[in-house]
Amino acid sequence: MSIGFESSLPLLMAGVVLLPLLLHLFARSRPPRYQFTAVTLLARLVRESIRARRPRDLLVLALRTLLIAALAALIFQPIIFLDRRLNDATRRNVVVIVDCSASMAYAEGGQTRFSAACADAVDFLGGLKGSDTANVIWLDSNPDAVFPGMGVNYSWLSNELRKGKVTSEGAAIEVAFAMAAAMLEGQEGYREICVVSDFQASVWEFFKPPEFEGINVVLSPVGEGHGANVALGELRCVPAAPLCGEEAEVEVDLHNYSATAVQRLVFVSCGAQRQSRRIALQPWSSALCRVPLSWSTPGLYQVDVEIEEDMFNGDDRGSMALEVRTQQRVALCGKESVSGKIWERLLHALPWIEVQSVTVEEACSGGFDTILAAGWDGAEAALLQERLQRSGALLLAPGSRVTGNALAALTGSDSSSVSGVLQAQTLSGFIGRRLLQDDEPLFAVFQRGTHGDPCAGRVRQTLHIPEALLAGGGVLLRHDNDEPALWRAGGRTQLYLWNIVLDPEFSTVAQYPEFVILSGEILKRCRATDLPEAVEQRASGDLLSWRVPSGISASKVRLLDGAGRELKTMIGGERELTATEAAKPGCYRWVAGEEVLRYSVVPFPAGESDLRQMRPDKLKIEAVTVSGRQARNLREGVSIWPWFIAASALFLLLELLALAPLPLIKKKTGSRNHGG
Amino acid sequence: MSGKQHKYLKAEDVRRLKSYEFAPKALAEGYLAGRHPSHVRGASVEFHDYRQYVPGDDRALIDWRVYGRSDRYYLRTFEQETNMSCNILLDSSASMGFGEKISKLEYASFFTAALCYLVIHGTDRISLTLFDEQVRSYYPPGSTTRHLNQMLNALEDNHPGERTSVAAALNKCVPLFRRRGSIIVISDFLDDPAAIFQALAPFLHRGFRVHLCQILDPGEVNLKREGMTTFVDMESGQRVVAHAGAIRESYCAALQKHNHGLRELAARRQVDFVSVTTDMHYFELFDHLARE
Repeated sequence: MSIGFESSLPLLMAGVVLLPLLLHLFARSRPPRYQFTAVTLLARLVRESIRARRPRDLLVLALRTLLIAALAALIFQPIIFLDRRLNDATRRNVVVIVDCSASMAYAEGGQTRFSAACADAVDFLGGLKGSDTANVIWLDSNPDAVFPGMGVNYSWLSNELRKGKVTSEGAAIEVAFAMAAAMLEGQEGYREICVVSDFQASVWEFFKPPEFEGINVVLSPVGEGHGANVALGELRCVPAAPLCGEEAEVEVDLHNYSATAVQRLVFVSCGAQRQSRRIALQPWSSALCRVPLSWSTPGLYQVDVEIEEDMFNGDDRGSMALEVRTQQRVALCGKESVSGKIWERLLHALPWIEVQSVTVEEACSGGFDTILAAGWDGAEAALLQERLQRSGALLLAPGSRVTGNALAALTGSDSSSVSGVLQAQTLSGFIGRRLLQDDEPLFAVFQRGTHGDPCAGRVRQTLHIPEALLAGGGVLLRHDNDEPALWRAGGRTQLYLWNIVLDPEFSTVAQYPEFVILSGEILKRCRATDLPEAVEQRASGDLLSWRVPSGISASKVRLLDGAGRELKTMIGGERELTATEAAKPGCYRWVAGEEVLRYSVVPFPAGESDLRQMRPDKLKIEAVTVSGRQARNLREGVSIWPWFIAASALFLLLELLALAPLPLIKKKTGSRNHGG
Repeated sequence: MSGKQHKYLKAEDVRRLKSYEFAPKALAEGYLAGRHPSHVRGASVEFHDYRQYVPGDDRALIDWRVYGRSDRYYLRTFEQETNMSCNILLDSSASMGFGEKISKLEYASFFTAALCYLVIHGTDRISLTLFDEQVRSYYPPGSTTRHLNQMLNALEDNHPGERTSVAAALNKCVPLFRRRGSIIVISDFLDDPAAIFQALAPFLHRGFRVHLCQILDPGEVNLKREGMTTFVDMESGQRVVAHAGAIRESYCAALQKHNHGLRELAARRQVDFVSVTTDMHYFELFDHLARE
């Protein structure tokens, strides 16, 4: 810590001013003499009062001394430097990373976090001198800098900061840091990266800071703590591609990022359909809201979901798009097998299913709702696994030559204990099956008894599937010899394992109509959850683009936002249309005339809704945590002369108070005993 | 009185004094028959009391009628009226020289001169003692015009002297005042009140009627000074530097307390005490004495 002076010239002037002042103070004038009579009385009074007056005189003397000192210091305009090194740096290179992600739009204390961050950033740029360089990087999903490299036009940077706007995007922190480090590379002198952000815990806790050499990092948090927020989460439709007349459910995830329980009314609308649900949310909890919808005609539909607005309203509405079809598209693999033929006959018997006999490779690459692998021998397990991971749906009916490894790859089980071909056990007699979960929705249709028994039909051959392969799911039907007959994967993986032999030599199951009903129920539930081809999901901040298929004139395709406003696009190579502006959260339509060709859905960045902040010192980065004002004070020093004005006024006031007349201390003993 | 014009006794004052008569209530102890009552029993018409005859008494004073009734000898005693002795003690110390328009000593001299004239004019005797720390001059009791002139001349020649000590002066006056009468002490009494009244005790014991006339200057009553001042004592030369404005209030209170102490002691000893300032006419002292 050191003290400097803003002005040195007044130092000389102060000497000139102070000289007569000091002469006046120290030249003691001799009081006039006055011949008087009762001097003894006066001496006694002075002696009595001096006890009270001497401390006061000393106090007045001290106050006057301090007053003069404060006034003298006022002339010099002193500045206190908390860290002289920053001020002494010959050349400074400062890159200010300003967080403009969606969470910065949260308003606290009359201003948004972003406006506070911009003001802070301006302070960081304050005090830069001629040879110093600076730049500003906007931290969003696609960080960009104001200048291509380090610049010296600080006023431009400050102006850009004042004009800056918060986005609805996430924050690519690593990209911004890498960009800042690249800018500072090769710069001589003091190098510094200043990060002004709300340090949202949901985003920054995953940040892995890169290693910098010779670059100082300063973190400046803005925001006042945990912002309360209720947000819409993921929107889904179950099934993802409903059929005409089928009742689907729109699932809405709701999150309460606050310490108080709240209730929210959820509005779901799709065309003429509009429904609402009131949902209660406990503190720091999530809830799932299901709203049933149905469509009578096929096509692309936009579903809008809203909740009541709160202080942070960017995530209070969302949209999704879905495609309503007339038939469920099923890819049948292994048609040549005996069971494959039975499955084919079954699928053709179901009017709401459109079946295609394809190879596994074709099934995985095409846009099928369900892949039915009949008599699967373990071929192309990797492709099937990859399709499953891409929200595909697979009804797997393994054959007698399937290996444990291949099956384990799909069920996600540990295959170390199971290797080789799984053995088919031929029994001496037919055996039946039993339900393991009576309340399973899959069997709900059989509960009334009008549709028969789901366990109808008997088999005398079963494939031995070790339980270790089925650890990640649940057995729904089990053979009487305890071998699993029907198994379903857990979680959101749409995988059903059909271990019921259909070969008429070993089974009578296919002879029963219940087989059709049960298979239909399974196929109805085993459907891909990925988006249809005509719907894409993009991240906020992306440039929307679409390669217009041949047969459609690209020049006639327009891009409309959720409110119906047309967005500017440009046609690139290979008939690719690209929006000129970064996408904000919402639902965008690519239309040709009145026909909607495609939907581009941009959800609100999931991590931006949780407004809880984390302490910058918890980041695994060697950095100093200061505000912009503090950093500016560190560099430029703090002008403390206003404090001297206040001190002078205070000293003057105290002096006036000290000079107020004091009552004399009167002796309680009273007058002397006058001879009485 | 001679034809000389005295400084402290002017013709208009003499005319004004003709309306006054000095007649203190205390009994006098004179040797001439006069206007004032005396404790000495004598031949007068004023009956005093009866008392038993003792050998040596004048047998002409025996009341025979009482003897006829009681068969005992009783004398009838009569009060003797005599002339009065008035003793003036004038403080002539340095402090009495203080005064803005007129010094306290000059003011006291005016009063003393007028009093001398008044007493002698009433065929009483008057003595004058000028003192400071010591008795500087003493004029024994007299009732003649020449005696008056001597005292007036002495007042004119009188100047403020050294330190003051009323008590010391009174102590030295005890053998000088042989006959009972009145004592009028004129001073500023900026002295120890206890010592003063201790010195007055022999006189009071002997039956003197004591009057204390305190003369102060308005400047010393109100401390009419401003700012830092070096106060130099007129008697001792002691210096005190003080801010007059700061101590004025406390000084006035202390002086008032001093005077209150004097007044209280005087009332307790049946001593007449009057305090005047030099901006008042000294005839007000006469008015006060007349009220007494």
